[in-house]
Amino acid sequence: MTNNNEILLQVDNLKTYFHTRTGCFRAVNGVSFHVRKGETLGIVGESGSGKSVSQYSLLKLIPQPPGKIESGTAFFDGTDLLSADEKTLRGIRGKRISMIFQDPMTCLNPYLKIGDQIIEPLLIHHNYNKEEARKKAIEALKQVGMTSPEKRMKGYPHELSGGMRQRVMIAMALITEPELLIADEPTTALDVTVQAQILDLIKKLQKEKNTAVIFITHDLGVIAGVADRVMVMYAGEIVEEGLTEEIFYSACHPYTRALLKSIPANAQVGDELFSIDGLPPNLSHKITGCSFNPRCTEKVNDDKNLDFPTLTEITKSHRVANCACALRNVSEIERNS
Amino acid sequence: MSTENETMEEGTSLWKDAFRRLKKNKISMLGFYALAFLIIIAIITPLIAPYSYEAQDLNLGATPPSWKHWFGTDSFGRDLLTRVMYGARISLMVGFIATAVSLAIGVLWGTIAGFIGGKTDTIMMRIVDVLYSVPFILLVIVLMVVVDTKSPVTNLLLMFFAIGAVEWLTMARIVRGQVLNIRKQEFIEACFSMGISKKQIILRHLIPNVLGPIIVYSTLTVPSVMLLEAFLSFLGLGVQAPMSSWGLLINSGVEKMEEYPWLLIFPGLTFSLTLFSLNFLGDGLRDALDPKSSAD
Amino acid sequence: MWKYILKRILEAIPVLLIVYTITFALLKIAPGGPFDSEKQVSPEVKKALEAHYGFDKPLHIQYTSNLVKALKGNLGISTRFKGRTVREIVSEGLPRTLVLGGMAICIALFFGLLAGVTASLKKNTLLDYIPMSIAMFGICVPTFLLGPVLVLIFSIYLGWLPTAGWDASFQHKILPAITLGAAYAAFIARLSRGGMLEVLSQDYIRTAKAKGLSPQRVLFKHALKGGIFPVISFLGPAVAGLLAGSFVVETIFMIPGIGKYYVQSALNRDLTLTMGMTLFLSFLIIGFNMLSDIFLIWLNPKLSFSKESK
Repeated sequence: MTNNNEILLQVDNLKTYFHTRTGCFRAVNGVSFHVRKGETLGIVGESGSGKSVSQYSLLKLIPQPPGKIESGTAFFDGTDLLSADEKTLRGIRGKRISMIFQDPMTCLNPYLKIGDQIIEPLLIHHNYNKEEARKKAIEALKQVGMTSPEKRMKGYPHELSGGMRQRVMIAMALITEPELLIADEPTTALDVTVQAQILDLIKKLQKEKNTAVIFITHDLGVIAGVADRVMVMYAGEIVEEGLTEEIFYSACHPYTRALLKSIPANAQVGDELFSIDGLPPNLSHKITGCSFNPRCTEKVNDDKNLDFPTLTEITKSHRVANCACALRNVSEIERNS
Repeated sequence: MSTENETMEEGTSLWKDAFRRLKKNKISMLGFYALAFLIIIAIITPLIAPYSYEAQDLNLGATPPSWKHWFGTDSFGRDLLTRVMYGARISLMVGFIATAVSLAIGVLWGTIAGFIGGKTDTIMMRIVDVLYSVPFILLVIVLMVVVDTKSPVTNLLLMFFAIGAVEWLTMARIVRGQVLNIRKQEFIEACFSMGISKKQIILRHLIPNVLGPIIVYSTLTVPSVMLLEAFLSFLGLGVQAPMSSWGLLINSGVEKMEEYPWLLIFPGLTFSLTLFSLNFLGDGLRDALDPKSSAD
Repeated sequence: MWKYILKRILEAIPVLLIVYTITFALLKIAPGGPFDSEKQVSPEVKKALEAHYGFDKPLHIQYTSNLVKALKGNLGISTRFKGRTVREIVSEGLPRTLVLGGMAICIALFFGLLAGVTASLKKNTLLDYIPMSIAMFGICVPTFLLGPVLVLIFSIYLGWLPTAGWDASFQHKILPAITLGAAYAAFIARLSRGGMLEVLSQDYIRTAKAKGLSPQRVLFKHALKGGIFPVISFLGPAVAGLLAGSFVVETIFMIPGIGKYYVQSALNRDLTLTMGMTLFLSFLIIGFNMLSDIFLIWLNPKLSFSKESK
């Protein structure tokens, strides 16, 4: 379901490390990907996989004293975000690339009225005056399905439920019609029913405005319904990447396959639920070879991979880390198709 | 291949972690050592003081610092260093004892209120609220003026009591807040569901967790108590001559400061440095025990 | 909101009564009467004096009649300052103390906020350590030490400022105001730094940055409001402390404000003056605390008067 639109964002070899007293944490260790106009890229991984840090790095939203973007480029419409100065970045944040975050309860300023917060991007980026901005804000609230938007504008965040606050966040993020929306686990903190509503809302708005979306989540079920392409991250690296169908039906990397296996819906009734043994590695230790190896259930004879596993292409859209297990799976899939 | 990263991190207890953090905080440790030094000196003062604190030498009068008298002498010829050392005993004693008094009352009150909850809690905290609104400064002044006993010991005891009576309220509030916090947390429910007795819960789970803020607040109460004592001494209440507390020494120092500035400077310096140490230590403790604050 | 104010007023009444009762009791059980220290007075004169002040009536009558009179605004006559009513003395001294206190607070707020907010923005750099260490000074050097030292330096050694006294000139006011305000500047600096650090680590600040707002806008529009909170909560109780501080400062700098009169009255065992002033000062302090609580609730959208959360 990928389109052939032009590439909106091209990230190459992004490395973000955190230098703390207890060590240097390689949160993002050489990540490259791209997003095309209007498409939805899903990023999946456990906590600590680097999925959020990699996106925050793009907008330099990581705390810079411990964190440092060691290397990489991120070209967005001709500008390298990673080496751009603050002023340029500020012109892009909230205007051309917007973000929504995981916990709507804490993401809105409790001391300011909703209306004041929503109109801010318009006042700053599009030079609206307050009147026009308010009108547009009310429109935006209607679009995200808020009832009595005029009343809401004058209220405060604590008067709203989690789902409603997330709607406000979405309205606020899309009010400037950005080209790219980064959504960091926007539904994780919400009830299941509300989750579905928010996901539909995002999909609808995306189609209307042709916004590209990077959707970060740890929930594979959510990804299936929302993403055109999927990127699986582990220990700061991409282990597999491809179209949604490719990932779900022809996953090659043992980690991806383990993730799929652990979706409760995939289990047979009466079976024990599958979970991946062990813990993600300590990112302050230098990892040689495959980072998933200690937990990999598919490895044979302790096959060691002394090279840093780069990604090999299986099809034009499907890439996977070239570890022995993945390559074995690739040949098996090819044989069966 | 990557078996090095397999070693699980050893879990550290909250105390060990806090201690490690505290040790790294150089200024706090400086405060700690300074304080320890001071306390030791204060305790052994009678043994090492160069002179007696009331020995006068009227012929000498006030002299600036010299080899014989490191801090100089006052207008009665009394050695200032000795008087400052004895002053340390009084001031530190007031600081610690009054804090202990407020600690005892406050912790008891707060724990009972927080743990029992319900109506008892409401009543107990209501009392605290009402008492909190009473401007104690005024009452302490009136009290100290009014009760003019001749015995310096009674005077001192009264001061402990008066000051302690002021400080316990905040301690009670803090303790109750912590108890409520802890009580709500799931691991207490887990204890209940495992059938552990209430007494056990209080002793082994509640108190260790409440201890943190209590320690921090106590360390910060001592300096404010000392300030209060010095304030009372300055006004002419509290400790009376010939005993010397730092407040009294500073007060007399102010009177003669134009001619004999050292009478003001040395007690003042010592007093301030002590407070500095206490405050830095208290700050360090607070940073160390609060997992949220991270300088890393 | 009015219901809340009424509630607070009602709550304040028992407090004032407690203060009155305790003060009354203390002053009455005090050994030595108000006339003892003066030159020996003959028993008849003493009796006449006592009758004049109403000290000869039974205690409970004194208690209630004093209270009633106080409510009417009559706080009695000073036993020391012949013929002057408490009210006179208070109205003479109050404006001076208010000016002193007002200046002190302004100084404290200005320097405290400047230091604290800057420190929070430049955490763990020199701009953090230096202001905070200076702030420590304000906390560790008591008012009665700082005042004389400042006088020593600026009046005696440098001769820039007068040592004492109080008149319309700015020079007379500046040193006492700084002395009084210093401790508060220190507290405000620490509180605002703490409050700002807490706010700056909140998610909604990250949202503000993600919207592309300039650092100035993030600071002034988003962060300050929440960060200043601890400072505002502090201002209420600070008034009680300021009053206590004024006792010291007015004594050192010989300023005839109510602080100095109050301490004097206590030391002189001037029963009526002490009683009257204690009542008045309590009233001031409690009233101010109430005002600042109301202000706090009004400021914070999360709190409402009907729930009056604490």
